[in-house]
Amino acid sequence: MAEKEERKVVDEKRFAIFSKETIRLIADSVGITEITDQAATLLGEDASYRLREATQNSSQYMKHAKRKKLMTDDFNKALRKSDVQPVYGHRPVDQEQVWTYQHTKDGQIVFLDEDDINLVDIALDDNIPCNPGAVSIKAHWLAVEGSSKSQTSQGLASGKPIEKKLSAEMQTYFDRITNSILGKDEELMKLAFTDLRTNAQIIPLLPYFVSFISNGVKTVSHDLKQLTKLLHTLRALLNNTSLYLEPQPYLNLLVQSLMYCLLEPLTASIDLKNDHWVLRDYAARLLAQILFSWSTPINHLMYNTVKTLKEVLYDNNKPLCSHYGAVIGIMMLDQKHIQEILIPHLPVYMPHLNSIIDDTSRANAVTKSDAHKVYGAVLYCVEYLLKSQIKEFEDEISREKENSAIATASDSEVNKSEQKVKSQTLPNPFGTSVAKFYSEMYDYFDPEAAKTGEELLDEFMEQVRVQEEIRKAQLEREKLEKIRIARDKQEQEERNKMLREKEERRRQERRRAELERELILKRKEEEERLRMLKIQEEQRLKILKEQEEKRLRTMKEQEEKKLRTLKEQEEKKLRIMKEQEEQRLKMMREQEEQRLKMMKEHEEQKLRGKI
Amino acid sequence: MNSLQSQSSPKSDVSDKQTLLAVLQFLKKNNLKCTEELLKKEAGVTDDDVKPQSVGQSESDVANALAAYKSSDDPTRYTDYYTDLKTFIESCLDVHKVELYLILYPVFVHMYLELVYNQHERHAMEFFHKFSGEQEYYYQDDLKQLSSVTKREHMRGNQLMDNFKASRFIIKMSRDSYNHLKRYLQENQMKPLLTIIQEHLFIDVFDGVPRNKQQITATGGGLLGEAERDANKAKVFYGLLKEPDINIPVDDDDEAPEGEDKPKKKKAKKDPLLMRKSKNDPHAPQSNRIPLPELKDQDKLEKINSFREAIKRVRIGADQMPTVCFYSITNAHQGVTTVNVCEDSSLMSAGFADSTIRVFTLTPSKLRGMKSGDDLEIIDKDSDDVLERMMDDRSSSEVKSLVGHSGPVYATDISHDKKFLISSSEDGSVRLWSLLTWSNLVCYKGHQYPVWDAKFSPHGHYFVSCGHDRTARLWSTDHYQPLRIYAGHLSDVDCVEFHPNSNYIVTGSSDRVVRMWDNQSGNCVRTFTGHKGPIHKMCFSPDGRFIATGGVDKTILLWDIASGNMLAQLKGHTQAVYSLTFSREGSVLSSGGLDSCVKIWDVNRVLQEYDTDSDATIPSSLQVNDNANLLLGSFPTKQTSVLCVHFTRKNLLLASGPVAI
Repeated sequence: MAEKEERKVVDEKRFAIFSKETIRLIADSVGITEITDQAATLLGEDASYRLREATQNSSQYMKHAKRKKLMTDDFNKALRKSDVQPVYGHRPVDQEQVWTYQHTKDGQIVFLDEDDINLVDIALDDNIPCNPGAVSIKAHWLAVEGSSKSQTSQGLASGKPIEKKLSAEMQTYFDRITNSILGKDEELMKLAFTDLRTNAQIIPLLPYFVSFISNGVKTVSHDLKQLTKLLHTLRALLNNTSLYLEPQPYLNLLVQSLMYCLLEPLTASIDLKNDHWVLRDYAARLLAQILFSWSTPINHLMYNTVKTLKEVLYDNNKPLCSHYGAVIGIMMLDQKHIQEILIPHLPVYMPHLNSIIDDTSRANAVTKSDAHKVYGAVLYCVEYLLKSQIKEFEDEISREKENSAIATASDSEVNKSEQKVKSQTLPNPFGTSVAKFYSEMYDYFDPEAAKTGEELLDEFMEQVRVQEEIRKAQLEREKLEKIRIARDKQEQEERNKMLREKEERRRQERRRAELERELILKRKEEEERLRMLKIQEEQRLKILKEQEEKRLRTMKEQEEKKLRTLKEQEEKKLRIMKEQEEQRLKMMREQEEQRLKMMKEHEEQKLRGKI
Repeated sequence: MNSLQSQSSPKSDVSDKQTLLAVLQFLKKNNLKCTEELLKKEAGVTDDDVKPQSVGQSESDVANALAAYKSSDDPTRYTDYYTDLKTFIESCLDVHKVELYLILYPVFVHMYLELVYNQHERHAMEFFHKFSGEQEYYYQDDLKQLSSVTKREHMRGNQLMDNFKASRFIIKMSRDSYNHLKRYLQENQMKPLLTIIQEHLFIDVFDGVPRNKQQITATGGGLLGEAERDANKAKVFYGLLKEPDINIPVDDDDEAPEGEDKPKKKKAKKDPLLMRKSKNDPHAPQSNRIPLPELKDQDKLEKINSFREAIKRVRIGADQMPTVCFYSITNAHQGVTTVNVCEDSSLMSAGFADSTIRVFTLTPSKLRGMKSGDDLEIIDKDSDDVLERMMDDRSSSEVKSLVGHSGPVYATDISHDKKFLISSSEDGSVRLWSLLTWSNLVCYKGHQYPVWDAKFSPHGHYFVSCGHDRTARLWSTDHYQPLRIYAGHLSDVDCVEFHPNSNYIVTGSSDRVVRMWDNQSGNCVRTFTGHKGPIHKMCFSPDGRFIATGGVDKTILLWDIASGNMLAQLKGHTQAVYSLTFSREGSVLSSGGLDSCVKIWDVNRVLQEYDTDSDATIPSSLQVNDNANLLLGSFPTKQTSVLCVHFTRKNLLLASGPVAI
């Protein structure tokens, strides 16, 4: 038993060798007390060698058991192969168990460290070892046509943003910029924005700025100023031509933060003094900019954004400020979206909005003012759409005019009429003419429209004010004036066109009336014809009936006649037959009588003869 | 019937006589007088010859065998001899250097043994420490064993020592390099060196350009060097046997029979497997070269089935990877030692360390035993489904255990007709089991020591086993003694495999050599060296021309049987390889092992890149493909080592192994 453990004793040579003392000890245990030093050394060396040999041989058993770990079993098998008794008691209960050895105090004996086992405890133990289960096989697909299921785990890392260590300079730059943006020094802030807009070397910082904006928007939603600053940062990044925003998370994060500013009922908007409408306008403009420059059919950015805006707008439970954001957002995109989303929703939405506006109770005061805001935005949208439509229309007309100018003067009148026809037949997004659309819209916006027009102007001014922060105010004013002049002109032209349209409509109505009259006449004629037809039909039916009856009558008569004649004939026949019969009978009787007479005569003759 | 093959190295007349006398001694000792007389008469040996020899037999025997190491030289000079030889080799031209380095290892070993034999223990240790580190990595295992031998007494009975003293170390060398060496030895007159090279080395000289380092390492690694060039000269009939004529009904039930029968028939014939079998292969052996059992009706049906399935099989390759189904063996706390799937993939057998064998069914049909004798008599023997009626439904189960061995079961193999199972165990016996009655039929006792592997012949009737006693044995199921004993390996024979035509077997051994044997003559016809560790699994390609081998050295080698050359080295496994199989059409090789990974290798590509025109007689003209792209795919399991890979007839890959506990 002790043999194996003794190998631990280290010699100055490479292998463990039994010492003389160990050999003596073993010899002692089997009753040999006298053993020379030389013999002990030799025995020790030989025994060590045999053990080494057995250990080497035991690896063969491990290999054939297809294991990576040499077990005591393998060693025992190797021992048995060389005709040595196996060493018992070292079979591990648990394969992972590590043997620990202990020395006695004088260091002569090494033994296995074993715990005492209390049999009583085991006997009374509730912990009955469970059945490990029968050996069985379980099938599963390791790979299907060469694609392994376990390999998919490798692709997980791509979802996370890559965390790269920034250089110290970059880090300080980022800290400075963000501090100056959020700080109070306006000069520094401006400097920071210009640098962000122009610096081409901030590319590695892009993910940091994006997360700065997207996280910042949510944390400072109570502070309009800071929010505006964050939007400025975003704008600066957008305008930096050296930045490429396409990689997936960036663009989405930016749009998300914009949508947040645009649509969410920000905490800042609770305070009535805060003009959160401006912020929303600004966000809408930036959103439009980002979508126009970065949306592709592949990233679905436009589609997703429009979908969100639509959902918000169509949801009446959302606060009015969200509706405002949605309307503004749609308007900033392009007229196509106004047509597709806002206009079809107006028949539903306007009554809702009007009901809020009409509620004059004091509690509703705040909501009402919000509703006015939304009302203004919708109006602005419609007006914008109308204007663009009119402009299109005018362009069309001017083109036509150019065409007609080329044509000869004598044909001008004909051309004009043609033009009118053409203008009517032009493909129109509203289904009818612009004027009709206008009148429809007019239905939604009651006569107080003049008042709302002012609001509209105010709004415009507000937007302008927002832009003032970035651009110079004078330029803006000039622009405003220009816009106003342009609008006046447009309105005049519009009115002219209205008149023209009205005339056309009147003419149409007249035409329609004539048509209706004709229709009525036609209907009457039809009715008369129908009545005549009915009468004719009835007459025909009567005649038919009479004829039928006649026929029936004659048929009956004929039948009776036939019957009568038949009876007569029958009677005649019977009579004749009776007569014949009687005659025959008479004849027969006569003949009989004659015969009898004859016979009597004969008899008499015979008798006479006899006699 | 038995043909005992002696070692390939030539022996002198003296040793022949010694052997003869030893045999006589043995006969006398065991009181076999008649045989003794007969042998004496035949050999012309007189009693006087025997007598003096027998006195002090044990001492003189060993002394004779080891006399070669007797040397009176100064032990301190060995280090100088070795260093001188090394400096000479290093001073040579680069082309010769690599070849000459080859002699360093055997010289080192024999010098060390000489020192040990002459009891210069301290010098031997010093010598060993100084130079053992610079030997090739694949010799380190042997060196470890060598280093434990420090006394003359230890040398006796040590397997490795026996091999070194009895056989010569074979080195292939170009003539130029050889002449260099010869000149050096003649000039310097170093006697012990000269003796070692003359007595213990065999230098196989070839004419041609010296080989490069890569070529040398590819074929090196054998316990006693490489194979001689002449070893692979014998003609091997590696072709498949001509298939017996069976009318295979082509109108398959599964396929539409309407009018399309004729074109389909042609299509089926175009299948290369069927084509090859129909024509006469010049490399195929005569079908009666070894007697094979006659085909029964049931075998014919089975063949038809297999043809049908083969027609439907998936062609796999680089572009069409196989699907792998893994069978994990759970709850095998006792330890699974071997897993094997039968040819038609319906049964799986596993051997366990607790001496049991379990057979699992892989199809929905359960395993049934045969009815008892009384019940069997009632059955109408002429009915068509007599085989079905013989089975007892009451005994059906998903798994059957076979108990009988008294040591870990190291191999199981199911015969192709699924009636028998052969198993080999540590207890030294090979057992034949019936899969109809689920009982042990025969216990074949012939091997002395653990039997590592046993395999059925693809044609049934024969089986082969191999084990620790360094022999492989061919048996037929109806004889309790082996028909052939194949001796020649220098260490344990770890695995054995039948050639698809049943005329040859191949054995892999711990001496790191693969040998191919002719079942008819019992001769070794091929020797493949190149593995750097024990070989544990071999596999023939379906056409019988190629063989893949793998083992502890984590490398899979692909060999051409026709020329005896190595085609490719497939490296990628990180642990020992224990399972190998070719796909059914031979285009892909699959492997698995202790690294819990099923790997797929591109054999087609190896064959495409293989230059068939190269001259096999000049070793330096051979190239070994070790392209890393040959690995097509690797499918790791969680922790389950892969002990078995098997392609079904439709080329679905089945793999199996025990779940790690």
